[in-house]
Amino acid sequence: METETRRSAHSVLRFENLSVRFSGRRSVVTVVRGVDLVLRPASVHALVGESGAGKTVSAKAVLGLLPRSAETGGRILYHDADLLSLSDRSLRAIRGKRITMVFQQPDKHLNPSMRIGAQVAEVLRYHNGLGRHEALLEARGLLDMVELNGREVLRAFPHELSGGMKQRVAIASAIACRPEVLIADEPTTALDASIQAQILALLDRVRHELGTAILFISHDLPLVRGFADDVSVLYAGRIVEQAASRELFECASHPYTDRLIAATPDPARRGQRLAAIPGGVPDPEEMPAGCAFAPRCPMATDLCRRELPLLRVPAGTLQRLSACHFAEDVACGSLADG
Amino acid sequence: MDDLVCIEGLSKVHYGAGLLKRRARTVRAVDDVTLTIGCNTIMGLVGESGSGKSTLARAVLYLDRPSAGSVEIDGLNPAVLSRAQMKLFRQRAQIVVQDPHAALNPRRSVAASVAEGLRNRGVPRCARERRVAELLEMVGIPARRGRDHPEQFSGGQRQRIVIARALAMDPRFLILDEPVSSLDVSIQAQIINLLLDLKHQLALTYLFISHDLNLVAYISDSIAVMKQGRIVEQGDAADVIAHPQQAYTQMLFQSAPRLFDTDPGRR
Repeated sequence: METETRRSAHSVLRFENLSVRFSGRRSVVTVVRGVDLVLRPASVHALVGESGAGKTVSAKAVLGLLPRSAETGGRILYHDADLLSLSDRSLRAIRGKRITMVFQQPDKHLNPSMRIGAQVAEVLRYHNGLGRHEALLEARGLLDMVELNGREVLRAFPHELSGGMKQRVAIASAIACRPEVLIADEPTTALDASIQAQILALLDRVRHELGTAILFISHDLPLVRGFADDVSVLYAGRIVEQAASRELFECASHPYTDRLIAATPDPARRGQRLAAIPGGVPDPEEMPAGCAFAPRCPMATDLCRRELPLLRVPAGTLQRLSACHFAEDVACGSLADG
Repeated sequence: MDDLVCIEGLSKVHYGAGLLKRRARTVRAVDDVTLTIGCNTIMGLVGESGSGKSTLARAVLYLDRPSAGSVEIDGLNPAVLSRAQMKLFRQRAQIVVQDPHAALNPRRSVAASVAEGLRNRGVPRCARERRVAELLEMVGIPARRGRDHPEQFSGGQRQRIVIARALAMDPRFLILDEPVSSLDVSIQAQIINLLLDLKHQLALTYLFISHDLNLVAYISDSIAVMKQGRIVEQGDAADVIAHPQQAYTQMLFQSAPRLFDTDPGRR
């Protein structure tokens, strides 16, 4: 695929056929099934999907944060290094420094008994070898940069801060070493709408000022629309559609994306019925043979139930990918009114 | 249109002794709230976390006794009701909360959970079974699955069961406190459609609490905006969204990212 190779020429992070399986005592469950994705420098790539789609598992695979029961396949390339085959030691030099992560619930990842300053400084001492005093000084600068009062927050404990402030602290630690890649896993889901907007504005600043690329994990389509450059839509462990955000929201080329947009409440739809998607996500242990979305898809035919559709460039388009046998027939919003 | 719910000057004050706090503190969690909700309409209640939305909900239903003010639902004012009438009040006004996992007893079949209220009302067994089957079908759960336990259902299905249980009491008024916040978008739409259908079929009135401003703007007939325990703005939904009178309301609705650009003034 030409578009694909052209994009990959400059990528900071690249998934090649990533798969993740969990083996339990009795069964093996495959959660991520062959994901390809390119994160361009200083861009925001959103990984969108519902629970169980494999968003968080993919993200954790990047940083080697999966439990031991997980088996990974494929490659995750950071420049030329395959993160999946790096030793723990080499990975530690990258994790938290070149590639960092911000989580949904910042309090779970802050130490409740340590002052904020010491926690942010710890990153700098570990990765950059700064002394205690220099590290604290720099931590204060970082806290100022994420629009907190560095002097005061430095001495605070996590419980003294609000949710939004804690998320800012988490971002400050994440950008302490000026990373190339920031993975943000639902960073605003636990926050109020107005705080959410502030945190997104902050992440946007980080991207522009530090040139950090962001892998943005979210289930919130309106949020993704305003923030991401590229979007990958995941369903049951596979990417079903990948496109520039603007194109994707203008006109979907996979029925799942189309139905997901149609199911999202919006003031513009007042008085109309929401186009709910019938049924639920398939059980990972009983995946259908063909397209995983076929049982819920209004366009599904025998072909869909029999044969797995591969990600391809639909005819008449250049820059997007869809894993639907009938991608060309998905007309924008037509299904929504059905 | 007649009003089904009249709330006047309602307050809920927490007198905190303050175990570790330096000084004891009185918190006016709900402060002098006056609201009316028209019969068979949906009022959306929005506000940031800690603004007092859920405390207001509990005070309206007399689950926590309000400190001041009065509530009247369908002509019943719980402050002056006899015990027998209070039972009626408890039937007429129901609440559905966010987490359907916590709301159902894991050790009982879902049919037993739905039937509990009916049993308390003294409905005989065979009528009860018929009614439970009817209620489950009404919310889209096959009646034969009544024997199953909560863990055998998905989150969306559990929320349907919780709704069926609330409907068992033949309520006229439902408080929906973040009823779809823990559900995925595709499932959320199913529940929202169900709630709209039920409202229509059973002539229900809703107080719909949510932090999702797009959802509230989509579903509500009227909107009330809460801040620090007070209602700072209320009115017809379209008006409140299009012409917010308060800077706070404006900020709140403008901070919500949208799926469509409808208003040329935005972005």
